[in-house]
Amino acid sequence: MRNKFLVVLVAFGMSFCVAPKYVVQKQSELGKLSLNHSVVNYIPLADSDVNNSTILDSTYRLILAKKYSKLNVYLNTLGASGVHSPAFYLSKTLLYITYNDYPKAVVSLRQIGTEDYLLLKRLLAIDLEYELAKTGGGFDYTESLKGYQDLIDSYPGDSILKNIAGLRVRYLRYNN
Amino acid sequence: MRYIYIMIIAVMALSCSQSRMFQKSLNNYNAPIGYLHDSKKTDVPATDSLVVRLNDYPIDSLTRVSKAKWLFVPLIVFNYFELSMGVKLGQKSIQEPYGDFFAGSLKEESQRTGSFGISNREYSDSLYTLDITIDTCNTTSKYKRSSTVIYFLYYYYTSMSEMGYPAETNLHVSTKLWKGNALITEKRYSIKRKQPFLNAGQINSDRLRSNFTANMVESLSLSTKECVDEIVRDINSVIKQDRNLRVASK
Repeated sequence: MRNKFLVVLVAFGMSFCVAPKYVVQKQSELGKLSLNHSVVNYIPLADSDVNNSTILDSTYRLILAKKYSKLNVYLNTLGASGVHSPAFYLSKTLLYITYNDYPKAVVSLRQIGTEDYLLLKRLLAIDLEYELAKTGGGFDYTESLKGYQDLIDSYPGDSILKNIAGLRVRYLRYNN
Repeated sequence: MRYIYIMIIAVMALSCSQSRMFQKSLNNYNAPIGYLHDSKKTDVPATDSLVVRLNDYPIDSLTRVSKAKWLFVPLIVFNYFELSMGVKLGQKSIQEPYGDFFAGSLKEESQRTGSFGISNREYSDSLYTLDITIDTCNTTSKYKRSSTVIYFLYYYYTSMSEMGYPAETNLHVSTKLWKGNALITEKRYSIKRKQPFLNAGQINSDRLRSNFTANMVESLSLSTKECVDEIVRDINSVIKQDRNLRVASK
């Protein structure tokens, strides 16, 4: 009974430890949100990407339901059965980001490798570079700012991306 | 009566030392000022050159804290002390010298959307000269600290709280655009901005002060952005008019 109580207590504590700093959201959902005056770091998933990939769709649903352990098991099973698609590595990247495990997220992000998810890969690369630099104590605001600036300049018509990048810069300013 | 005077003097001394300590603490925090340019890059060729002469406004080196008002409620079972402080942003809280930041932002925005090329030196072919004077650059805010003590027989309960308010920036910039020795246009830009304070939920005072500083710097940053965007837009339009006149007169 005592051990059970301890396990529940530790699990409760860990649920706070792994509180994700990044929120995965479909682009259509982001369009409905008011993105002003907050500092949430959204990771935008294109609706078409989610709808066209079973892995990404399952990943999105599980992250939304905060069932991270289930997602971990799901991805491990896929990995063991030889699935190594870009969607698989993107899902792994999202899982590691949700766990705040940035070194592993960088490895998974690099494994996506193909020309898929270009925008998302660039956005996450800047985010992860910041997180790693922050951990190492060598964070440079100007570098991150330039990264986000280049990204929004590459997609001038993407207003959601512009808002998301604006929130990222705000986050950096308040967490420098 | 004497005790009341002593109490008032003690409270005033306490509020003075608190605001001084707060100023010292606040100057330990700083925030980056750079912002994201959200203007769409234009491919207009920079045919005319513009020399910029910036007369910088000397921002206070330290972030200053002034005691705005205090309130003390000394009752037998309940004491309440509240101190409201006015804060004025100083250079020490900004990670980059403000003058450099202003000049850099103007250059960056000109490269993105300007129909002119900025040059630092006056070459013989420099067509325009822009004199910029930052007349006023004040960013202020308010910070409140309060403490409550409740006595109950041999026990007492104390609570302390701190609260930051939205920062306000007043930025006044005068510009004069010259073509050779002829003044083409002059304009004064007045930007007044109130930056909403970040609602970050329950945070400790260290984090609150850091956010408070970032809020003031953010207010100044976005006010500068607004001003710089307007300046570049206006110069574009004046240069376009002047170019049309030149073409018409040929």
